[in-house]
Amino acid sequence: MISLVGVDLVYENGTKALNKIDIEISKGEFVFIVGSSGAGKSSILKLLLRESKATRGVVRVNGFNLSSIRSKKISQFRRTLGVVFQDFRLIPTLNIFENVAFALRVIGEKQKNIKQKVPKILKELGILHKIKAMPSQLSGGEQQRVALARALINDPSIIIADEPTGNIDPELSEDIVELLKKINLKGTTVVMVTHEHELVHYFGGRVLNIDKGLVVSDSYIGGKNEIK
Amino acid sequence: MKSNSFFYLIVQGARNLWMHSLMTMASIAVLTTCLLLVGFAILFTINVNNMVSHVEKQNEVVVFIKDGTSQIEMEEIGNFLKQHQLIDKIDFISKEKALKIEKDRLGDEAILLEGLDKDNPLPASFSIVVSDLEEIESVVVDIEQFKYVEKINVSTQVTDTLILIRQIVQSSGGAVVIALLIVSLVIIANTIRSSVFTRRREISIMKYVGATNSFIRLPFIIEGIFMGLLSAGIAFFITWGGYTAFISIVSTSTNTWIEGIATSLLYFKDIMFYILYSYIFSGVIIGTLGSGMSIKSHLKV
Ligand SMILES: Nc1ncnc2c1ncn2[C@@H]1O[C@H](COP(=O)(O)OP(=O)(O)O)[C@@H](O)[C@H]1O
Ligand SMILES: [Mg+2]
Repeated sequence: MISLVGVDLVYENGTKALNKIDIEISKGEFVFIVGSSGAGKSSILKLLLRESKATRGVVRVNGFNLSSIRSKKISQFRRTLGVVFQDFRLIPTLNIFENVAFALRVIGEKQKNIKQKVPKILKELGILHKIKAMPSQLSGGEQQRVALARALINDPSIIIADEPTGNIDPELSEDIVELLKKINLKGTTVVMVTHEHELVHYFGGRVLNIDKGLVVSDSYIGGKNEIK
Repeated sequence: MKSNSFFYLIVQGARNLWMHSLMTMASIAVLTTCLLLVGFAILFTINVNNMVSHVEKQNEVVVFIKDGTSQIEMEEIGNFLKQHQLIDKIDFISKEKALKIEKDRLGDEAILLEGLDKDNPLPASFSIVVSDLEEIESVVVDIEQFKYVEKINVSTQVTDTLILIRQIVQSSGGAVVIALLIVSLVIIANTIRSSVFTRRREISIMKYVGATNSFIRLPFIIEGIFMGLLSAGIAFFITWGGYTAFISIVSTSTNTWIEGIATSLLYFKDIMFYILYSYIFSGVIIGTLGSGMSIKSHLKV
């Protein structure tokens, strides 16, 4: 499902963000990626999204070899993923319905299907009542649910989340991870970056620890509310 | 392309224009000015060409032959003129014919020429039409070689002036137009760049959810094309109004010289499609190139 073999990532300015990384993630796993700021966590996600290209080594995701993928195929590849970020990245001028519909419109989905799918996913994530609201009228937790709805609308087989709880009150952070867990139980692979150790220890599971561009540990830890 | 995508892209392209209407207006103003200058150059050239060809038809070169030139020599120069590549038409006017023309011209006063029949002072001549006005000088030089040529009458002053003006307008006008085209390109590219910048969040989301490159880029190309079309439309109506006003002012002039020019000007309806197509063509090309340039450097996917 996800495999990084001997991967280096050197940015254009010469910064070496990742150094000979090896990671294997199977279908249906839930993986936390932790590490201090600047360790290279987001860089790993950028590789998985093919936002960055590995300087060395091979990255494979969902059957695509991202080291040799042609640029024409990248859009097709990305439709198999869903992404959420710390800053939600909703479009402030569009209401909640349109923000989620956006992900379908830009890949040419029919209006009929859009009208069907969007309310359905908003209902699943418990924010259907905000369908006509603007993003600015929502709390951080609600905005992240909308972002998650947008990420899920195309039925991705992997969800990639970069510090999804970073801008959310700690009490509500657990709700977001609960949602991710629910999604994961339906078979979607989840890769979540976080630096909130309490959260990791609360849920437990597979934890990849990154430091200075290296995987320093890859282990399962038990949690109060364990995943898997 | 699916029709729902098509409408989405058109709407996005138009929305882009609105989102920074000030920059859009500036771009359209510059592009319109540029097109107007192109239009001016075209109108000017077409009209001057028209006048030149008008004058060209009337304007002949007359080669006077010295008295006492033998028949053989006369035929020699006649053949030379006939075979000359740059000479379209040739008319021989004998001494007798010249006298008759002069008598006819004088009419009642022809009596003054009475008695000249025996000792005709008028020279024989060849009246020729040179195919290309700009070649007159070289034709004259060719003819001057014949020693029995008395003199050559060329009244090319008007055409010379017209040709000179045309050359000046075409070369300096060309430089100004090229400079303005470059300015238009840069301004449009900048407008699109700012459009890309204001929409960078949407663009990044589009990438993440798997919109294709062309889908992401098309609204900006459409924005550029819209700017080109709008400029073309505005420039066309300004040209229409301006040219029509110019003609009506010129044709009511009491100055005979200006009146003369007015009669040889073309009507707008005769050239409007030519102007319109040139505007649309240049506008769309510049709009597409400008946005294309911008996207290439600012919209990496
Ligand atoms: N686009 C970039 N260009 C250059 N250096 C970058 C870029 N993105 C990240 N870096 C650098 O790479 C290293 C790892 O960054 P990142 O993966 O964002 O860390 P993390 O997400 O773990 O905080 C840092 O030193 C960061 O400054
Ligand atoms: Mg990060």
